[in-house]
Amino acid sequence: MMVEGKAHNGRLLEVEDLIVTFETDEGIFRAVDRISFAIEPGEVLGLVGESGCGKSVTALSILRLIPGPVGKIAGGKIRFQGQDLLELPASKLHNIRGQEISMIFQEPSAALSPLHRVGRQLVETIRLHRKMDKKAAWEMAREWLAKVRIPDPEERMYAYPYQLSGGMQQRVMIAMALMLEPALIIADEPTTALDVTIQAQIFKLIRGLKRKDTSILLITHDMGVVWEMCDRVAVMYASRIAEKGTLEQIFNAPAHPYTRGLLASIPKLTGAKGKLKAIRGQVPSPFEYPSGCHFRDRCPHAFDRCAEEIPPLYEVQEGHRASCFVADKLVGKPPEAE
Amino acid sequence: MAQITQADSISAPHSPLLEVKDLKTWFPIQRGIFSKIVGHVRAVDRVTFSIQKGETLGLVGESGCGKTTLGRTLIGLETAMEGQALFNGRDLVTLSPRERRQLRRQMQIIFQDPLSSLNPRMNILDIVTEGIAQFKMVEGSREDHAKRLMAEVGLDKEAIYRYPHEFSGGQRQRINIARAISLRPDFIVCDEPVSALDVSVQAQVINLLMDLRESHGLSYLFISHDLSVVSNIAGRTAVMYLGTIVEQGPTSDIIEDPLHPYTKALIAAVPDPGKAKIGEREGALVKGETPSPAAPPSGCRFHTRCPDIMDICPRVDPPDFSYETRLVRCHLYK
Repeated sequence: MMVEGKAHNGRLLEVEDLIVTFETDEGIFRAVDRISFAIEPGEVLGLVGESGCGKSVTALSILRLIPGPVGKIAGGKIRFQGQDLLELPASKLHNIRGQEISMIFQEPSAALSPLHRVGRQLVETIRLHRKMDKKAAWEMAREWLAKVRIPDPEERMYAYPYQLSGGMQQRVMIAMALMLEPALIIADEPTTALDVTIQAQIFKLIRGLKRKDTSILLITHDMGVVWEMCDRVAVMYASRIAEKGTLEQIFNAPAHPYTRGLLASIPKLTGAKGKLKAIRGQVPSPFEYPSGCHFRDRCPHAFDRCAEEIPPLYEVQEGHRASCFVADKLVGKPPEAE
Repeated sequence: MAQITQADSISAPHSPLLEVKDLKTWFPIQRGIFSKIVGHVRAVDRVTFSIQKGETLGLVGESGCGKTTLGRTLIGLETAMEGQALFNGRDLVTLSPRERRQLRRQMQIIFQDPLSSLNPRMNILDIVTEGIAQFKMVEGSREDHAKRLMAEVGLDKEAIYRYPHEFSGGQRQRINIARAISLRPDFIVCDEPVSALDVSVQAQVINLLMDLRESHGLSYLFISHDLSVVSNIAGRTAVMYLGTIVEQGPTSDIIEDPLHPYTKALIAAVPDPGKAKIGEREGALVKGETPSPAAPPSGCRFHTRCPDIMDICPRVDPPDFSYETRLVRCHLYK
């Protein structure tokens, strides 16, 4: 049975000092290095960063889907509705996956089984978590296909995923993720494989169909997607959280030099044209992270201390934190000033 | 005030570098043991545009609209079925292979995936000087020439003996750019050159392309699905839908005041951080999905999704109507 938005001190999910390591031929590295964040019921939190920053690994850790033995959760706590998911026996975790926490992946074609018809996959998911006969489950699945605006839902129940377009497949995934009314949906780049006009339809759909107290953890590399979908944002850079705050704080008063550089470098649809304000250098490989602050090699404000210590997440405004020694001087300054 | 005109009358008076007229690239659909042709995928269908010397034309559209096929056709990687593409006055469609080989020095392409477009078994020296060796354009030694090219695209000169896998995505795209400019071309097709790159390095590569455009007097056909990128680099833009250009004109006009219902829908769907959100913005979201280019709708191709559909739309395929600075393929602007 659904636990109605039950939360631990008002929070649905709390990730605390999470560390995930990967062991490769070149050695062990930290894909996620002591990150912490929380999601309130009903909230959409964006976890934004570039490829390799650890955002997807964080998402997979929540459901303990890190591929072992290469990847390992090496430390930290993940509390969901008060219980630590990392301590939970596999059987209990199984009940949470799909029912309490569901996932929407980037590639719907990879997430759906190519061998089974759409209807059967939906019915199977429903019957795994709900005591329902086949007929009722079929009816429910068909209703959800209609809710995600798939034309001719009755007919599409018999379709194989390859017979559907990418946008339609992603609608099926959304139906699957929403139909059990989970408390948390983890959406990992849900619109990256789609065209912009379809992306806009999907945004509308997710916002319109999710229950009021359902939370979303949205993983993306796209600041535009964050702007459209999120209430709060955590910006990740090279395995750590650089900055977190409300949507307005991050976009209007970014405090971390990485967030500031990123926002200034993105081409805008409207407004000033011409040369872009690029961040210098490139994202280092996990084996070449600099000491101290991981961003310091590319940072226009770096000084000696940045190499010596990892900057803690300083609070610059209420609910707005940035991992930078000069964050309080930068917050509120226009990025053009750099 | 607007009237029906020939498409080319809108272009500037001085001689264009590239003049494309009614270009068609169709791919046959074959069935059965005799490979009988049962239909065509109309990837590029009746496309007309021109690019002036030193100009960048942005080509935007969603996946499957034919923008990549159009770029590849111009470079000669696909064969046009019909139409004309005059490059410096010579028609690319009817060139002999030998003439085309000569002309290829003047036109280059940069692909989306910077890794798969570099031969993994060749070092950077060989990659960037292969073309100039072929055309006997090496100045000094190959090493020196390669080092100069590396410097031009902002890479370490000493890295010429390394291999593509040793570089990051952004650096690899710089290598592709170095190879493209090595032959001193007049024209480069940039096919989604930054789409595969990390957000923080996209701006560097866009800036590099802008710098090279200045220093080398280059013209670009800049193909992208991302209107925000195009709006920064391209003076003029063409919007493609299902194989045809539905609207073309100055980029700022198109973005600030789109005319074609598809352009309106496309712009309304682009997130614009700091500005109104899609849900709160004017302009309705377009419904449905793009039909198959193998069986495009009758009449205007957009009529199945168009919010402003009229009686004439399913019956008559609109020609290019000229409207102020723009060409619009829509009956609303007759």
